[in-house]
Amino acid sequence: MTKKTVDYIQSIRAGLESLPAGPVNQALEYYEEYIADALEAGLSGDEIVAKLGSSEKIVAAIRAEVLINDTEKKPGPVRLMRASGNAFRQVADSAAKASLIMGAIIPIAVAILFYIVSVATFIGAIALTAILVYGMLQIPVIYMAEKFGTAGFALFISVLLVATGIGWWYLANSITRVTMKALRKLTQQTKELPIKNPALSTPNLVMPLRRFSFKKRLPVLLGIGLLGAVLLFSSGLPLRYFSIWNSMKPANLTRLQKEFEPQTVRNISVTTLNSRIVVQQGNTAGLAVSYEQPDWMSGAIEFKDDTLIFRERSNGRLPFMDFIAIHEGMTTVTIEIPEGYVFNNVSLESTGGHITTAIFAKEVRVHTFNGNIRFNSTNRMYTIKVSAPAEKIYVGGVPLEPGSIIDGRLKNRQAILESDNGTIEIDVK
Amino acid sequence: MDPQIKKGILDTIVLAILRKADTYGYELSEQMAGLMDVSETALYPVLRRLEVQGFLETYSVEHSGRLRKYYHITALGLQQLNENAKELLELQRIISWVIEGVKNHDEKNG
Repeated sequence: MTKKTVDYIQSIRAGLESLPAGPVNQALEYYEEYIADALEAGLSGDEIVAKLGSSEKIVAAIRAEVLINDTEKKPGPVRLMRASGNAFRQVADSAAKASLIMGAIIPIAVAILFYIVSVATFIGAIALTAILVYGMLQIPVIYMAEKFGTAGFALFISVLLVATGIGWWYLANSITRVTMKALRKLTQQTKELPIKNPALSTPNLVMPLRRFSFKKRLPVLLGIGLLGAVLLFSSGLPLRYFSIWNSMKPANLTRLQKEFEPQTVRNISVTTLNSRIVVQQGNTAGLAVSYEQPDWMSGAIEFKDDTLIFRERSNGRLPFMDFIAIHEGMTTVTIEIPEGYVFNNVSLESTGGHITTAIFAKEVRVHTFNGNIRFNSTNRMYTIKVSAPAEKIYVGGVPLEPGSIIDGRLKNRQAILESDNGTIEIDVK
Repeated sequence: MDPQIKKGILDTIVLAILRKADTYGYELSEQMAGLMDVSETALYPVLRRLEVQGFLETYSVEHSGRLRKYYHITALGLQQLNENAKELLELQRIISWVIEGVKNHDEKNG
């Protein structure tokens, strides 16, 4: 070997540094042998290098082929992009480029899309698991079954999503393989030779890390998922959520009841998650509050200064109750008031429950996120400001423009009715 | 020459050279150079392609303290060579006919 030829081989080797060693060594072996034989035949180093042509050309040819073969063998998004990019760069004339684009651009795009979907699923799995673990930590220790159930759900859903993500990944891999076959045909490359000499198959320089094998860990993964499912279903959580989601009347209701002297109550404030609120005029002389409490709620009836306060809150047994409360519950908080009695301020608020009210007060505020409002304004007594989605407001059965103000007979009595997603009906008879 | 035709002919020439005797890379390329203008960069992929297709196999022989890789045509390679030769004969017939026509035309006008 002369200095010239040694440098030549070195520059080829340097150009292929980032590629798997096996095929690169095969190629280098060929060129080294060629040079040795040429030298033996009496050629000078300069003559040989001139004969072989530029080392860049050799590097490019080997590179294009090795990248495609390597990607077919071990598919992945980075390899896919590298091999495809290289193939497109290799092709110089526009006709070949056009046929390459026609033949390969769709499978490349689909494979990349599937890789993205796969990664998104993994990220989703992590995010959802984090949310569920947070929810689980929020559950009070006395509700152990629910705690374990939520943990089980976190396990189950993460395994499910991870498995789905793996599915997308494998799908993307097989599309990548097919794409590489097409690329090889389109760019007229050769498949990889099996390496006979084991000394040549030194570890791959690009990916020294041991590849994580999902296949081997699949039984463990499925076991975890199954454990999660068992925990989840034995906790009874799904049934509870199912009943709330479908607005079913829950079992195990506790009845809370309290009576007040109407003269002492000037203001009423009721807040519920998804229980209905009914304010109605009864025949009784007293003021009665009654509430059907499911075992995942806590209701509190309080009397402070001259205000009657009712609050329905989650007792923490079911996580994400605020979210699930947009579904109307079949439980009711009922306030019975004596006929003809006038209050100062009445405020009724519910996330998912319907609100029905027939009350006399100076000011009534009713707000619900997802429920409907039925408001009684006998003889057009109130001045009412309504806000609800278009064409969902009815006054005496007649549709009304949203944001309207209905002038009432009594100017000092006003009501503000807001339903973010429900309908508002106002009775005026 | 059209690259597609050149590529097909390259394969055939390599097989034809190997049919006579087993040989090594440099020698093969020298023989090729005597027949047609082919760059060294083109020959290596041809050899690899033929090997992958099973038309030739290799073995190493020690030569002055190093290993030299020899290429040997397989039975499958011989079969392929016969087929390629048939196609070339066909092509030759067509080429003769075309050249004949061009010649006659030239004679008439010339």
